[in-house]
Amino acid sequence: MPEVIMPKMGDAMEEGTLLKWLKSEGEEVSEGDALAEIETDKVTMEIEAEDSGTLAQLMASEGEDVAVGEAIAFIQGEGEEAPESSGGGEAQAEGGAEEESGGEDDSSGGDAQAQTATETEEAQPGEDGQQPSGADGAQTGGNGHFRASPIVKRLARENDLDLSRIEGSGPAGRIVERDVRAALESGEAPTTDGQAEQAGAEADGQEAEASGSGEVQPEQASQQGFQPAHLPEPTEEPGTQLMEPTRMQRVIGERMTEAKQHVPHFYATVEVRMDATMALRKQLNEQLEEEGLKLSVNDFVMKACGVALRNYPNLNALYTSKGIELHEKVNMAMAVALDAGLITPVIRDIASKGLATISRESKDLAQRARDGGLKPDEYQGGTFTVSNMGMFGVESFTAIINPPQAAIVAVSSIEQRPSYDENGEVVPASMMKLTLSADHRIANGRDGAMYMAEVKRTLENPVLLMV
Amino acid sequence: MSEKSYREALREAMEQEMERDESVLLMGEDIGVYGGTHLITDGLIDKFGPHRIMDTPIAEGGFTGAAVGMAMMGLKPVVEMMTWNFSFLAADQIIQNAAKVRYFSGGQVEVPLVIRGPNGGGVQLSAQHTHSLENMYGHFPGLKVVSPVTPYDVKGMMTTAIRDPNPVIFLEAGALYGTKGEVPDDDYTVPFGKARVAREGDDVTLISYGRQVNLCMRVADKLEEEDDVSAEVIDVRSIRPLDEETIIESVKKTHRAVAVQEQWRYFGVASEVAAIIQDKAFDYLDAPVMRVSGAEVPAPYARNLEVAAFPSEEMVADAARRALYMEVKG
Repeated sequence: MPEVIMPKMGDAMEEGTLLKWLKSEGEEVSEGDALAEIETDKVTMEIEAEDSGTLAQLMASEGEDVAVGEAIAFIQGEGEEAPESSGGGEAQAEGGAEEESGGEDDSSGGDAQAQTATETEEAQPGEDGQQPSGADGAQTGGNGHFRASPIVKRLARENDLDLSRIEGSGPAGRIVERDVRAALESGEAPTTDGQAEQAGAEADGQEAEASGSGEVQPEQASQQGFQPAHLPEPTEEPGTQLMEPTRMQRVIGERMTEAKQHVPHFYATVEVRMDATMALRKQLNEQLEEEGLKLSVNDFVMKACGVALRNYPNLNALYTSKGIELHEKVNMAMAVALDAGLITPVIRDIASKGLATISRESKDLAQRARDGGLKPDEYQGGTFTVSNMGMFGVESFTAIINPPQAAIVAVSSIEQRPSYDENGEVVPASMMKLTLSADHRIANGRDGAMYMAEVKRTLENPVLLMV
Repeated sequence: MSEKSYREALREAMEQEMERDESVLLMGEDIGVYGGTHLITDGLIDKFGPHRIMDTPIAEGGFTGAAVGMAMMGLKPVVEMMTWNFSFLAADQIIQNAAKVRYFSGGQVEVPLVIRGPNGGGVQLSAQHTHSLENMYGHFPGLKVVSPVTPYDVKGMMTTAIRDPNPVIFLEAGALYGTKGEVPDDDYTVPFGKARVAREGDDVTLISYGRQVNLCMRVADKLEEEDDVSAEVIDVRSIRPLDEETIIESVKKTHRAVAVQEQWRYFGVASEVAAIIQDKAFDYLDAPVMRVSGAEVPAPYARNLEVAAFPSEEMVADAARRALYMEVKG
């Protein structure tokens, strides 16, 4: 019987929330019918039926978080029987992927892919006298607990390792010793205080015994891995209200905490005289009015940032597990504020696009971002980010880098200031502050300063945007 | 030092103790004129005479009770159970009297008694004659229980058993009476409560005793050859007292353990070993402690079924692989 599963909408997606059922149990559905609305950390979308039949069983209830790949419903074809209901769905085995039976039946002992562990009775005790290895009391991924063997927890404690960033290769994703050894030996063991190499050297005096291919994935933070150990209890005083963080809030919180803790930021601010750009903008907008197009200041800033990156490839880069990946094309991520958070849709290859195209794309992306209608490939793959708070009258601010990107530019408002012209006369000037935040592992202060000078030069001589 | 069989080493220990100490005597069914069903006592009646090599009636409860009485009065009887299966008939004497007299008497009366005989299966004796009783006797405070597997250990531990002032349950590897090894000619002792590291290794600890130690040694070779895994093998050899320290030290080194026993899984020695490890080496474990045990059926007679009912090399190797999160092959 075909299962309807929680789809994986992006590499980092581990679970999604079932928002609303659009069909009810027992209803006839056809291929392509929308069955339910789900919310990922980025978007809200509909799941469509891939088969026709009767919606036999709804496995997830509205508001429930479901792991990627787990069934949320079954579609029953003619003559098929519904699977037995099994209660809460917490501990359901996925397709018998576990190794609960004895060793005689060629069971799959160390199935690293198993998503769920089943705690069944010892299935066939007489068969060979084996203790099944899959079931134990290990914690699942939530609430800051990770499945890890005792020695792993001990090593993590002794070496200040951050287990949330080590991939487990044992049953049901259990982190086992070889995973930690591999991480320590690779020199990329994620530590809670960044002292990876020291940790590796101290690891238990048995460095040479890791016997497997553990994999460290610095990008893949677990859902709630960055909570401080002890948070204060709510005061629950009159006039207070307790609010559950949304999925998006949690993800933003984790990613920003990760960035602030693990990425060494440095900052460089320039003040740009915007009169020439504003004049050009006015001129262009008059010409474009008939087409219903209006270029925003931010379109110019994004274009300028993109064009200026041509000579500073190390600021258009990603910090990856295997090194610094320099990108030729600038995929410009633009921060869009939403009621419930923010999202950064991407304008691809911005340096080669004209202002009109950029303007059309940015408006469309921003609108659909607010409507929750972006597709994953529209908000993934950015190489550089611009965040603009100018419309709120902010004089200046600094932004947090959006990992794994190397840099972000914070755009503030344009203000009228007195300035000197070449004759020493005081004249009014439109001034705007831009602040670069850059990853010091990738770029140094001089790169940042020279790049910001280039951005400034471009915006003050906007004809450079045309070349 | 010379090469001797397990049987000869055992006989030599008793013979030397009888020469050394006149209060030592042997008793059991057909141990004298016939030389013993397994020929352990063969020839001893000619040397020591029927008063010290006593043939008994087929009445385990009776002669074991008599031996308890002799021990209480200062003799040092060594009682043969033709097989340990027959000790069920004498269990009341062993458990109710031998194990408790010293305690009841506030230490005034000792019971320097050794009860010995072949334990376990593997020689097609079927269900009623195939039991491994180490967990049963190991359960009772007041008894010491040992299970040597090498000719060296069987001589040294029998000497220790006879010299011990308390009742000792001496479980011989019945299937291995013919195996040979280097054994000193003079008397010596092997202490109780001290496990033997039969093979050193780094990746996983195989813990066993009796005949299963040899199985574990073969598995360790196999794991090294096929999987490049370095297995440590521990021969517990003394069930009570149990050498927890050696086991714990090994697991602290290897982080993985497989306990192997011929007896049935539930309430067995392997379960006790697993419990001790999780209690005292929890923070060092990388995987659950695996147990490999006999099948949960009365021992079958047919050779193929009997083989299938006891731990095999493949079962033990796969348990080790599971503990190492490797792919199993069985």
